[in-house]
Amino acid sequence: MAPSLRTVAERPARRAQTLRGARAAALAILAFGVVACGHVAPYQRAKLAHQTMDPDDAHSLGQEHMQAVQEGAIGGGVSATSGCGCN
Amino acid sequence: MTRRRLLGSAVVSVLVLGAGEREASADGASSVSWQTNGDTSVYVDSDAVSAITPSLSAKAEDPLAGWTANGSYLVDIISAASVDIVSTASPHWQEVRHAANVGFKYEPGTMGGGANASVSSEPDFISVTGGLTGSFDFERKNVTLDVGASYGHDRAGRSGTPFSVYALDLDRYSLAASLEIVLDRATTFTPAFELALEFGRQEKPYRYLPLFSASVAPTVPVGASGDLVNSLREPGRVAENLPDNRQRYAASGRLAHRFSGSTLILNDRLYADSWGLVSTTTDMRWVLDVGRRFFLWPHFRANLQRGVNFWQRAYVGQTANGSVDVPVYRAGDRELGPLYSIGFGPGARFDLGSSDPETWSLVIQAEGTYTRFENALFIDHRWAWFGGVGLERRFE
Repeated sequence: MAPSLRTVAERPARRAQTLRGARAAALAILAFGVVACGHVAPYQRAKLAHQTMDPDDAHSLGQEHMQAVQEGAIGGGVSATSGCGCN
Repeated sequence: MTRRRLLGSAVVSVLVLGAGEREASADGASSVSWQTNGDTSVYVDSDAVSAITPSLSAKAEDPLAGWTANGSYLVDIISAASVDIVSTASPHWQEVRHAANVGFKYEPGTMGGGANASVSSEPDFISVTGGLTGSFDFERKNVTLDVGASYGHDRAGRSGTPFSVYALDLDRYSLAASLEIVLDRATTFTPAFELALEFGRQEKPYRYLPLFSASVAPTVPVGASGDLVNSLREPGRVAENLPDNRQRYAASGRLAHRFSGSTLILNDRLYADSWGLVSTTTDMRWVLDVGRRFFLWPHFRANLQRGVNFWQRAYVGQTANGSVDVPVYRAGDRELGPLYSIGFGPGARFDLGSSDPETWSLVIQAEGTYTRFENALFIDHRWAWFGGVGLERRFE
């Protein structure tokens, strides 16, 4: 069925609205990050640098693959590795 | 390649890790630190699927120069005689998958960038992915923004048939961002977002679905056995057919807190896609310091999902004028249907050998997962067992 004129006209407006929303959300999260962070100095980061805090610690490639196959969802993984200020 | 040869290669990989240690130790002036892992895991489930997965990975890092390089390689030897295979009178099959990835990251100051690439290959499937990443530190490394973009191409075919004769192609684009926030001296919080756009064919070439008359379809019970399905279904089967594009959205949060004698890591992910699949996944690991060199943890994972909006347990095929009308979109992959799963198991890390910076670690993990398929044919639940042993080497 061909889309109605109303649907076609609404599509760019909805896309622009979604983009504006995504930009606002990204800025809000970045602002939250700056405000919420504890301003911890490098010499105070012994606990943050502990090996068990590393996202890769106890990480098994086989286990990760098993989860990806068994669940319909993908993505949302954490890629940040330097924020603990360990390097 | 036989299982014995693959197990042998896993043992050889451990010996290679040891050889690497002696070479690196000779260069005592280097600020480069190394981490190498050799890991073998085993998977068995109640649906007659098993897999053994030896893997190798390595990471080199120079914190002063700001670069990191990593790579990994794994082999999956999969053996399957699942109910889907048996119900279509297909023989039990064995398959070997090879997967490798490499990555590089350079961050000399508060900004950095990197690149990564991966490839996965089976006799009837190949997947290639490449990506770029960027990293930006704010507030004296109390806030780190990581962004990434990637492109991947998958090609699925039929075993024994060249891709030039038969192939289903899929293009994948993804954008990801995460923000690691240091909340205090012992806590980090990391929200992450990912958008993935997929264009192309995602059907499994071997998957054919039974069809039922309109009056019979509602009476086919959840988990109906292969014999019952065969006694109720219409003659013939129809190939799976999925929409040719899909937008996936994932948002997650990782909270990590270091107590005086333990570390708690909580992950939660919310996911939705344009096919109507909505899910939530919670993952928790609580690492307890049993000793200075011995860590023990329970791991818990739960996944709850609503199926895709074209999911049906029993698809209706209407015969009219000599042809059969079937729903345009139809899926036989239980992981696209409504389900929940709960997994739980212990893990342990033993740090062996000399003290820092040279350390051997032995990591052992085990996990049992129960999955309930709430609206599927053939089975209504699955038990899966996973075990893994890894040897890790950190040295400078």
